[in-house]
Amino acid sequence: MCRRLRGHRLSYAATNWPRWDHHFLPWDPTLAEQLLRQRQPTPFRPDWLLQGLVTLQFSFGQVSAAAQLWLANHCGVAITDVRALMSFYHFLRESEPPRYQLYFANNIVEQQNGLEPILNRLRSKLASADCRLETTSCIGQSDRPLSALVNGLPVVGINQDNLDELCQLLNSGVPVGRWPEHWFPPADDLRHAGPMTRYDYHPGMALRHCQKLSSEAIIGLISQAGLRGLGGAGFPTALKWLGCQHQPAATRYLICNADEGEPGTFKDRYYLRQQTDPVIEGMLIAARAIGASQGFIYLRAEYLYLYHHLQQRLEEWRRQGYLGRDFDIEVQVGAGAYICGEESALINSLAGQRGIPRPKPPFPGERGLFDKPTVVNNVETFAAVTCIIQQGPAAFREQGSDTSPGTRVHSVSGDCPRPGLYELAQGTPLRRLLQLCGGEQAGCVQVGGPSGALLFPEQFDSTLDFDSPGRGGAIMVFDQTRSVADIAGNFTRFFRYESCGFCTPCRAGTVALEHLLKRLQQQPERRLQAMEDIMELSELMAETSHCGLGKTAALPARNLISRWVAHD
Amino acid sequence: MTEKRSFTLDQQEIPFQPGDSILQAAQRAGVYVPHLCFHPDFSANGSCRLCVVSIAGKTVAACHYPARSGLQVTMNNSRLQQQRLRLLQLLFAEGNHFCPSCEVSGSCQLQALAYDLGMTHYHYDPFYPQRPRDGSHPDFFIDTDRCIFCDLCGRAGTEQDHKPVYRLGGRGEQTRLLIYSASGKLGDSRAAADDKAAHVCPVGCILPREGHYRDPIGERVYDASPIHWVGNRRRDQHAAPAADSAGDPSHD
Ligand SMILES: Cc1cc2nc3c(=O)[nH]c(=O)nc-3n(C[C@H](O)[C@H](O)[C@H](O)COP(=O)(O)O)c2cc1C
Ligand code: SF4
Ligand code: SF4
Ligand code: SF4
Ligand code: FES
Repeated sequence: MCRRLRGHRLSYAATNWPRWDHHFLPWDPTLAEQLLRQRQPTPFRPDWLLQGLVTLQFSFGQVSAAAQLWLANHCGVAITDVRALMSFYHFLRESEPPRYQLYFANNIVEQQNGLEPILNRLRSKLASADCRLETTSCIGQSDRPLSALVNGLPVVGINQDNLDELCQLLNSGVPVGRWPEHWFPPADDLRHAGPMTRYDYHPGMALRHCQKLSSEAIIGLISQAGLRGLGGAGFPTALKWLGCQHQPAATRYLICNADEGEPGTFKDRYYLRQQTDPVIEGMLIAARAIGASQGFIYLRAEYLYLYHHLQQRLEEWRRQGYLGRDFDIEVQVGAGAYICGEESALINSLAGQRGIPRPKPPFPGERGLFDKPTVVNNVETFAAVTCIIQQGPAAFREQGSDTSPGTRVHSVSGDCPRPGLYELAQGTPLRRLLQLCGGEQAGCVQVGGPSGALLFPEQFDSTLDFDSPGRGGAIMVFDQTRSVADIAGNFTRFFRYESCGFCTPCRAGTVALEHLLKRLQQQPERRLQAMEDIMELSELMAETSHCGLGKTAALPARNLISRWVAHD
Repeated sequence: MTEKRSFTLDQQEIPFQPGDSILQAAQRAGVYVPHLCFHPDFSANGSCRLCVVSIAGKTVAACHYPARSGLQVTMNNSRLQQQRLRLLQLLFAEGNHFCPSCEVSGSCQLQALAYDLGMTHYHYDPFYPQRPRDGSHPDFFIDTDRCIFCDLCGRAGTEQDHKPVYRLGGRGEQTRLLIYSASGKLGDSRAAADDKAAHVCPVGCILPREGHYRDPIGERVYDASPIHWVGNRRRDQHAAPAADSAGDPSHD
């Protein structure tokens, strides 16, 4: 532990990893060690094993058997422990990389925007190019369909009209980092800004204010504001901090959850890129409030393109003397596993393990990362903290409802002319958001991502807040031609694919559920039985699963059946 | 004033010790709670979910849930029994099981629980997974078709044998049993005949090579005594006790 802490005091200089201006490199242990040491002065530790693998993957395009053995030996772990990670995280690959590895997002929005025809056309056109075409869950670019990760870099706005240009690039051999600018995600513009994204932010002002306050006083301000976590569950932030701060422990950790994996969600992408300083400052404030000595940003691999930018901003806070003395922040990168957004799975992943959720209790506030009290908050929550401290809790409370105060940024995608990011007061009716994005004619809207709720026109007056169906966050708009069964099928497949496999109801239940949905469509004579089975299985999964993924995984199928029953 | 440490399990009063889970306390009191991934010698895992009980309307895993005074725990109502049955059926459907000819038939905990809960069919379409076998070791044969991913072998290895032989890898339906050796084969691992890890498997995945099909049908561990009488047993814990010794704490 001691060594660990000393290691953390060293500053993480801006690295030139990852790089996209050249192709994947041939395996070279000397270079590998250089790359690892650039990211972390003491990289050869069991708890940094996953980071080691991620670094190698995105440098060499693979982690070959030889590279795995090399890393295992250096970290002092068994090769089998490396294999356990390789087989869990979907972006870690042992096989020789092609020149271009493409992962197309296969969320329902992309599916409805012609993913299959594009893939088929690409396959036929690229037969001779050194490319591998695969799909993955949402990569956080649903507002710019179709999107794909090319050697780790997100390429957006792919459609039938520019497919020839894409093919030319893939045939040309130009490294993806040198492709024309228009292929990459532009800086995000909010479609609708609000008090959390548009206030007159003064870097360091909120933090300096907190330096005069006790931790109780800081937590008191957050409590007065009534801030609830913006990562999904809406847990009161002050309570979470208090629970951790109360624990008798010498070491406490703070984690910023930037795994943003819920399909259709991309607001953290915006905060990480355009509101980086408020997010970092929010972490500094939280660290002060709970007494954390080390912070982490767990960045999903799909957002690796933001890594440099994050490191640069962190370096700037270090240069100013705010960071790096009694508290520092390390950016760790995921490797393709939605479940790692679940806070206890994230904690295991940060410790270099497979991302399996831990049993609760104990909650992370009591026993988290390396068994120390740990607070995990979402990116947007940290941005809100800075806003609340700088502007005062009363200003935050001016918007929103009593139980869900303030505002939040919704990610809108799907069948509407103005997809993108909308900051709205909590409690805003869905109908209002649909007017803003041009989706008033929608046939149905998925609120809160696949684990949320599918709402129909008669429910569009429902509000977007923590007490309403779906709660908001990811809003996928579907026009009247879209099939509810396709939506449910896509989400069910998503959960099956992303189940961590730990517990029976979810590991096997998600597969059985997909079988039942198929039976529903293909065997009309067994339809009634399949409907009953789906309803029963969905309750089983909701009640007996170990974590939130399994508990919500059957909702889409269940909603589909309920809808049919109500309308038959 | 010292508070009496007890909770109720289906109306029966169960005393507990600090740090007990519901399942541990129940077991000490001689009450059988269905379970597959729990073993009293090792830390709880919570993966099979067979031990689900209901507390104030919430379903929790008894092997994990900390015992607290005054809790009212429901274990046996028709809903929970039905849910356990379905979980078992999922476990059967996701593997490749062939009980009548299986080496551990009659002493398998998965099969015994299926009998106990009156399972007559799979209910779900079988998944027919492709899973590897490993015959490289002189003392054991591994057939992962029958693995239920309970991680008992992994926990026994870390917590008792203090040497890694088995662990789980992969993700989701691709979760797999991995062997600690460069080749991934058991024959190249440090596995030894008397490892605890090799003898905790509740099903027929880690199989000793010797001694199968010796006990005639009718005399196998669970033939005479259902699992809710005798608890979880291996073939080497043979002698069937009478019904009144249910949950004998010397057995798991
Ligand atoms: C399956 C699953 C996936 C999750 N993914 C994320 C995620 O990507 N980002 C996130 O902030 N929270 C995610 N969460 C919620 C986290 O567990 C946790 O509640 C959250 O990070 C806490 O931050 P907050 O209190 O600021 O909202 C997920 C939860 C579950 C069950
Ligand atoms: S519910 Fe699913 S994701 Fe969660 S622990 Fe169980 S298998 Fe893993
Ligand atoms: S392991 Fe158990 S359940 Fe599986 S085939 Fe053998 S006896 Fe049947
Ligand atoms: S081999 Fe046996 S003990 Fe090990 S995980 Fe599989 S079923 Fe459990
Ligand atoms: S015994 Fe509790 S989950 Fe397996």
